[in-house]
Amino acid sequence: MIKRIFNAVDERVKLLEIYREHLSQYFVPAGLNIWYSMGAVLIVLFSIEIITGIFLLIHYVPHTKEAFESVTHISNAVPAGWLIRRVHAIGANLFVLVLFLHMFSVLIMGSYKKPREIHWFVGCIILGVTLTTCLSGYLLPWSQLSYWATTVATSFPGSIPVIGDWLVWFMRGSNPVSQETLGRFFAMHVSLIPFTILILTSIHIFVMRRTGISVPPWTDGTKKIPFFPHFVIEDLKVIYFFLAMLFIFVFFYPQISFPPDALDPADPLSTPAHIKPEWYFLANYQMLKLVPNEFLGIILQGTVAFFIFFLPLLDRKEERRVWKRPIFGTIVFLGIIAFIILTVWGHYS
Amino acid sequence: MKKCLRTFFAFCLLLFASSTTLAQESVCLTCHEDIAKDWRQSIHAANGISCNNCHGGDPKNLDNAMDPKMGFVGKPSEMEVPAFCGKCHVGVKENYTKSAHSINLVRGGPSCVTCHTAHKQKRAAISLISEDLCASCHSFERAEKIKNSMLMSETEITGLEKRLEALRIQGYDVRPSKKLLFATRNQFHRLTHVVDVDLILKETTGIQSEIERLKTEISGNEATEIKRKIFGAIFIIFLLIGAVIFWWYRNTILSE
Repeated sequence: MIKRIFNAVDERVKLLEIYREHLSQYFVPAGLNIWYSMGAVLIVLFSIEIITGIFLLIHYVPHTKEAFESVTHISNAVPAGWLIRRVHAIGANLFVLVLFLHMFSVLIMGSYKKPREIHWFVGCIILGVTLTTCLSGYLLPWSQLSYWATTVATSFPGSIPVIGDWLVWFMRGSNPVSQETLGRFFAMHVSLIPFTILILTSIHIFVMRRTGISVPPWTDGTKKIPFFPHFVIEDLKVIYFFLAMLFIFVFFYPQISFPPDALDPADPLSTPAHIKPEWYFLANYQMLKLVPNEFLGIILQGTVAFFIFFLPLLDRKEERRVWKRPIFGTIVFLGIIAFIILTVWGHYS
Repeated sequence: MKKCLRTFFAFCLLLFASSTTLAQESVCLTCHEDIAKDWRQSIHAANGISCNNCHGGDPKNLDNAMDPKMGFVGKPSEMEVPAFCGKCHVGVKENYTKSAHSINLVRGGPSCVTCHTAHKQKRAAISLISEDLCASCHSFERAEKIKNSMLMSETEITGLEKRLEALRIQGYDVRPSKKLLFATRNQFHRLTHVVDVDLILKETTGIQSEIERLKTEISGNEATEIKRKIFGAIFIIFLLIGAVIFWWYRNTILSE
């Protein structure tokens, strides 16, 4: 019966043809390692964020007077609400981490070079949009941490001459962080940004299929394996490993996403001591603290972001092996070390 | 009784909210640095209760800081101390007034600051009833009886506070339990000020039933947390086994 239905559908829409063309007869280089599975991990994590986000939306109330109570209700009264909320919050952190790893591997393997420049540009935009998603989502629980971290984060553009104050007002919708801020952050977080990421990811995958997966620089790319089942199983292995990591934090170390200040409702009259942004903003935060002029700090960070974004246009040589590019390798190595040092420093400062 | 407690908490919260920022800004500290040193170590400082909250005056303006028109009352006399502290600690004052300490205040009996100090007050704990302190005025025997009768409940309350905090960190909404425990603890500590062993023993029985109720609730949440962790561990093991199976299967089909 099922076979007859399948055959009837296949006769009309050619399902098996799609399967052959995009899976079993689609060949990828044989030397792909776990770094090539980061994209698949990101797609799984993004799906998890969407699903858990929809469940959270059922009970969340985007109003300053009710947001914290609604989130507390989700964690304490809704069946499995605690699990959904933890997976959503910690999953977002893991998403950023895997996105960093993905971009790091692309950097090291020179996969941003011609003909894959568009992949890199789109990937950079996805990173920017992801960080905006995290920032907007951070405010939604309306906890002490949410309120004050958002106040600090949205105050930085204020140091830009002429338009600074306007920018801050534009982001917040009012002078202090308030209902207006919560409203616009909520709208961005649940509608605009997820659709943007979805569209950007689709473009990313589309251009990747058009150019093919980059051949690892340590192979000549002549040996090929079918995408299904060979590479899909490799992807599944890495996905399962990262899911295990996610659930270790969800079940045993939820505090990583919920420090004590995240468990108290927002109080605009009482600034808690040692408010820090999430780990992925700590390097930027510490850098802004070190540079004497805040505007200069923003210019510096903007310059670094500019160079990273336009890297494929600045580095046009064909050589992809990092050991044959000592200057580039040194810059990347020092950049990563600086990022780690600033992050750790920011955490303990 | 409950209404009285609610009013007391509301008043304390209001006081706390209004004074949190003022504690940092008080101009009094510019001249009274010696007192400020003690105050910084106190439970008052930790909760944002600043000079003006007790002594009045304008904490933002040095000229008006000690102006009676701004409500400045200065240092109270020994006889005035119970009423002075009792502005906030209403229940404690009520119990103290019934005590032998209060009756003997005119003859040099102890006031609040005798045991709690004037500016370096620590969070009230049973350890405050000590031979060093009590025996400086009278024999320790009676105080020791009071201490022993309260010790078990006090230890349990302290233990429950720690367990509630551990649950809070895990994301449990412990605010109602914390409020109840805070009220129980206050009611319990207020008793000390009557200095009446029989009354303390009688009231402790009632307090103990509240403690038992809280214990049951906390134990239930702790059991839930253990179940979650067991389920989580099994789930994680399955995911890791899955990863190993995929790794093994991929190696198998690659070698074919």
